Amino acid sequence: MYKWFLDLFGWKTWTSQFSDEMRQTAITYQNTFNSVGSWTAVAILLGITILMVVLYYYVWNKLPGFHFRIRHWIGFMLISAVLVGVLTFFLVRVTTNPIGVFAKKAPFFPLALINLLYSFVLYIICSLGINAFFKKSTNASCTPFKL
Amino acid sequence: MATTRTNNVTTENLVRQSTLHVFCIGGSGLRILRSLIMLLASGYDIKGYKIKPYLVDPHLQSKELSEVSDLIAKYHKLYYGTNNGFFKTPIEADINNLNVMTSTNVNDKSFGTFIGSQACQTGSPESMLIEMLYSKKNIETSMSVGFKGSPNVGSVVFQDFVNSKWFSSFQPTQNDRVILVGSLFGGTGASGIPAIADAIKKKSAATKVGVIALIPYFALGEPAENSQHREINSEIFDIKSFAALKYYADNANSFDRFYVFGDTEKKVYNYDEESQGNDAHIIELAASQAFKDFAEEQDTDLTPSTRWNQIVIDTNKPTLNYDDCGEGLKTAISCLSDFYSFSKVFFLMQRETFYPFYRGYKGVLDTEDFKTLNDFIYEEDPQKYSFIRFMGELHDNKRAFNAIDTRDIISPENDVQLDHYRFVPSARFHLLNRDRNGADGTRVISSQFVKINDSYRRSLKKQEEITPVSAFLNAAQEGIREVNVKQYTANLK
Repeated sequence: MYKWFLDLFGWKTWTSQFSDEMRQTAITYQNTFNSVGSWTAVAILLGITILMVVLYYYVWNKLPGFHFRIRHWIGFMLISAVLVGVLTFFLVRVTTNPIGVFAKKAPFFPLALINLLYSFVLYIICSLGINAFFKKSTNASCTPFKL
Repeated sequence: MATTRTNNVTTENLVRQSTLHVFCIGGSGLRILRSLIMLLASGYDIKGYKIKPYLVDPHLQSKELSEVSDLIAKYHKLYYGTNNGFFKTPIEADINNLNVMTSTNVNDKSFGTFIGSQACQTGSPESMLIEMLYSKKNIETSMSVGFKGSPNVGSVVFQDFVNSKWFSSFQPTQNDRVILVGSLFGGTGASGIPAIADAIKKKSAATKVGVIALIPYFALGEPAENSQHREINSEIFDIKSFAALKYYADNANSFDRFYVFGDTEKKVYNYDEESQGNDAHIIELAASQAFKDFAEEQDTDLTPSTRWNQIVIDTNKPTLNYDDCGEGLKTAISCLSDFYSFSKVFFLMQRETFYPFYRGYKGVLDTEDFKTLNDFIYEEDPQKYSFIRFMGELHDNKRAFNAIDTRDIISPENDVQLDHYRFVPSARFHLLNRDRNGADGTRVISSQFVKINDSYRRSLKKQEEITPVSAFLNAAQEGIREVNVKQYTANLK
């Protein structure tokens, strides 16, 4: 899910930049990044985006205010994406626990960026899902579209 | 042909077997009916009864007559008779024949022609009797604009009315009640009330008859110097009312309850017999409470000792805020403020293109029912009557009704460019205008938006066989009530 994007940033050949004695450790870290890091990113993506969608449709929308307007929906989407990006950037670093040299060179930023983009997509899908299947339970069933 | 709408018969409606027959006699009767229609539209309920109005006005071209007829027709389209909601009390009416006075031979005849005075030879006993009882003006003046403050003319015409074919066919059924509404200081009401009350009691002694009588609450200015019409003299309104009340006190067998309403504050209207159209007044609103009081009273409680009733306001201020209106008006005020909130929501929501409640009905908002609702609430045409105009007039009249915050209604009195009330709903408002503890805090209409949408969401889960406009009104009233009740409760603390 992330690999194709990281490969655009040279993730496939990432280990080749290290000296022979470091390479084995780099391969081990790359594997850790691919597994633990990816799962962390997915967890952040799902957790934050779904939380923000739920907050928007079931909490924010039920507060007095014209919160069904499209700009509020877009606002929540942006906040959600930024949160996902920032948390991915920092938390993946924590969960993969890289040594100093890897911490500088590991693709945390590309991972955060793609997770941010995925967050937009997931936010839209979740919104459409709520509008399609749970419209009787929200005050914003027409944002962004009426289904 | 009665055109009662039966698109959705509910349990509540099946219980409404009894009819409250309302005879609105003369201009004042029409104005009280106008207030009642506004209250019923706002969700005010007269439990167990459907309302059947009869307009009794010889002034066939009267502006008020056409306005009230138009309101009844609109109400008729919007009435849906569910247990809750706006427009829930049925008004049953023969829309095409509301003015039952057409059953007489009044038309635009002079009184002399009506009684056939020309056939009497000059100097004959009949001719002398007529001259003794009626002035030359009485005899010669056309009755096309009513009886011009002359009950002696009206009482003869009403004898013709109670003998008419229409009145012969009028037969209240068991448990039905009749209420007669009119003023005591004019011509039509003052003469019509006793004649019709007597005739109904003769027809059906068991039928409970109530009277809502208005004593002066407005005055008329001097007619123009060159005016041919100067029969009505508002300086003797009080004397005429006193004489009428004395008559009723001495002849109290034709009615079971008598309500009297009047005011010491009086707005002076221009003298205009052709198109006298008085603004809505708090006295008419207060008088509308009597319908509910009379209809909901047990037969056993309608005794001679409870025959006379008065409803008073709490303070004698020229402008009445919420706290000045008295407990008796609180239900009416809460209904009116609910409908006013709804009016704001209805107009504001049409700009909120992502509002689910709006989108849910977007496809049907241009149907006739919704257009009727729109027009009932607000029409720019000054010839048409609307809820917004009603609220504006109540606020601008003397005595002023200021219990509900209607600052979104721009009055022609405050804007010389306007010839009608203009409605400019804003998102911010107070619900009620209060004296104690300062004004009720400013709120935003969005709470109503949220709660209406909540009730709309709940309604999506129900399977109801009601028209879209009915479902719309139901959801709106439920949501608004939820918010406003909290505000009334908060205000009372």
